[in-house]
Amino acid sequence: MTAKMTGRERLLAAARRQPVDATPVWFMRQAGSLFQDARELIQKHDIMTVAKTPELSSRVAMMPVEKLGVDGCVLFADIMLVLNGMGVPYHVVPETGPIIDRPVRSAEDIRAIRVVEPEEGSPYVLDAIRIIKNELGDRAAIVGFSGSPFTLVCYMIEGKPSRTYDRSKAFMFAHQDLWHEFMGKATDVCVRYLKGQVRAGIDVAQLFDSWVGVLSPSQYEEFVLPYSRRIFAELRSLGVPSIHFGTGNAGLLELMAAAGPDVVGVDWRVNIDEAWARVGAAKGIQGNLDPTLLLAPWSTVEREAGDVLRRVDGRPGHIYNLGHAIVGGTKTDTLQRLVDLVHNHSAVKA
Amino acid sequence: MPANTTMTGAQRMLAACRRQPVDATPVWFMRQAGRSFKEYRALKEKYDFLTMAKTPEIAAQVTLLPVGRLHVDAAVMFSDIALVLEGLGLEYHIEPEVGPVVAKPVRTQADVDALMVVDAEEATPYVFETLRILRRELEGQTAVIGFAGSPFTLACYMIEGGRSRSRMYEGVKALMFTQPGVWHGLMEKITEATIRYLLAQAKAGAQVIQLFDSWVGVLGPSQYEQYVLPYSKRIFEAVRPTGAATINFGTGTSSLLGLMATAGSDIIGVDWREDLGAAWRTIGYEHGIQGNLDPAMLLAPFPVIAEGARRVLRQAGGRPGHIFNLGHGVLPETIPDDLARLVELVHNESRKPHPATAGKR
Repeated sequence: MTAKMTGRERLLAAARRQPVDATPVWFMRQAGSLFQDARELIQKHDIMTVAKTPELSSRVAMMPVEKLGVDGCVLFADIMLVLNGMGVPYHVVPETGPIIDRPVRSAEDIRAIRVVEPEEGSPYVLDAIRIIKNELGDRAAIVGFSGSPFTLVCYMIEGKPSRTYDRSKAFMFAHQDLWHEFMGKATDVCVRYLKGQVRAGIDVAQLFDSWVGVLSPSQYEEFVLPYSRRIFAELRSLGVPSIHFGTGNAGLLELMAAAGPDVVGVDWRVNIDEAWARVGAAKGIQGNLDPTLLLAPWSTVEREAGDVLRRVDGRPGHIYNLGHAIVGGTKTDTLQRLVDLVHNHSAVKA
Repeated sequence: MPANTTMTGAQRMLAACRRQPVDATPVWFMRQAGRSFKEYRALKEKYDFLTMAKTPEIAAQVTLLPVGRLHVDAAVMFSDIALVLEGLGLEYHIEPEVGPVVAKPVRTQADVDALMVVDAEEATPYVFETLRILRRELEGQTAVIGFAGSPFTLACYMIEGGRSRSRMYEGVKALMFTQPGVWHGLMEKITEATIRYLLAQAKAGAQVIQLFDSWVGVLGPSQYEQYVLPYSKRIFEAVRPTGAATINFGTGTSSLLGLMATAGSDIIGVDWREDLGAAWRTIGYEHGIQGNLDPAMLLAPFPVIAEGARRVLRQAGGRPGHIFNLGHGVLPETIPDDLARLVELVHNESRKPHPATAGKR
């Protein structure tokens, strides 16, 4: 009989497809306005100030570990923060999202982008990791992250949130050399950013390729895959397990696995057992409860959350998560019960 | 050699819907009637969208623009999926850049009970008049396509009031999960109104009917099966006896295609997020397939468009039952000349002997 694993051990073991005493669980966007204490901080200081102040952001990041008992402690940061170091100013408009002051659309714009070390570009993220590492101990694994080069490049070209990224894709088709130059530069930034996070103490790195689902398989292969490959190769050489997350990517799963992460994150649009069969047994899988289900009565949540676990059937290498970020209106109590359900269900099986 | 060495667009389109041999792959585009033509933009200066859609002469004129200019094989009636709301007695308006906005969203049993199901001829007579004009004008040269939004997509508009800002449709899904009775009651009523609407379209002359399930890709397979599929099934069953061919179209549906094929349409419309060859394997060759060039590709230089189109044709492999289309609507910035060149390319590069002559040996 082995002693109970810590959250950190559990998440790291699952990321390496090793046996666990219970399925590890964390939630995208668990750190933030979910909790009253966090909401008060954000109201008092505004969200960007909280994200850029290590003492505050680390507190917000650790709240879900303390209150929900999740096994992963994801940073309270925004994928756009990295733009600060790149010299691409932006501001956040409530209800709309980030707006880039001057979208990047020409060769000169791309060449003006700076590639700096995160110690210079976003030191507050690294400081927050150090604080968390110090205070959290082994209770949960620290999940660092970056937006993928594709996501960052799309944001910089569009200048504002989009549903379809038509402008970015038009740029990609019409100016292929510039596209590759831009992606190459964004990849340099992501690699430095993630390496800096590893040096500061993260345990796992997730690459958010949230909008990659707007691409066809052949587009992904030609215009995105080479860059994701480079990032995962770099992480591998540092010995840090990696998660490659995307949404609406049911047509891309094999290719996303080919990019080289340890774990592929999938959304709820595909059944998790089918998704795992497609990414292959050599990869772990993360997911994939529909976040909107958490607005349903508990009996429905229980049935559907259990369905994910039944489909996985106790195979090592599953990290429980939602298929995308927690949606507004989700109650902390429901999340608490879900964490318990995941831990208990899988513990009984073991 | 018979005089008619080439099929008409209508023959080509209808044969492909039945998975019969064609002399060239038929092609049309979603939103081909509209924003990219200057004649349309000129009309748009004078009339608002709904006035245009509700005036048969104007709607028919707009519908016919791409037929003469692009040489597509099918004309899709100029209309909006929101018009079926008239048959439900629901107030709405069309907001530029946003789409239909429902004044009083439907969220409770009482809201559902208050919906009427009006006779379609009474609610939207202009739609059917437009179709009759189109059949007359096109004289069997070009197929006439009617359409409706799927009950799911309409329910999304009715519950959210408009588009879901977060793209998660959490309002819709919360209602689905927390009040399944209200959900199914709403879907029943929309399905009933949609069936009446489509039967009247077929009667007025629509030779092909497309059901637009544009937002269904927010659902997982089991959600689709439980909350949506039964209603799509009923619609295709009801339309079948009219003899109109049917297309079940959705976007972001890579993991739903197998289920969508069981809804009973002749053709499944797919977007560009999956290779057409893989999609066809999934839905099965007993169905035809429509698609699937990425509309964003039309914003590229023509050689890039041509390469993408050839790729789609290669994936279809010359199998009967392919209708060439984009994976979603034509984007406003698209240059009409590029669409015309694309039609020509699809026809030329898929050219085969006329099935009637090919059969005579």
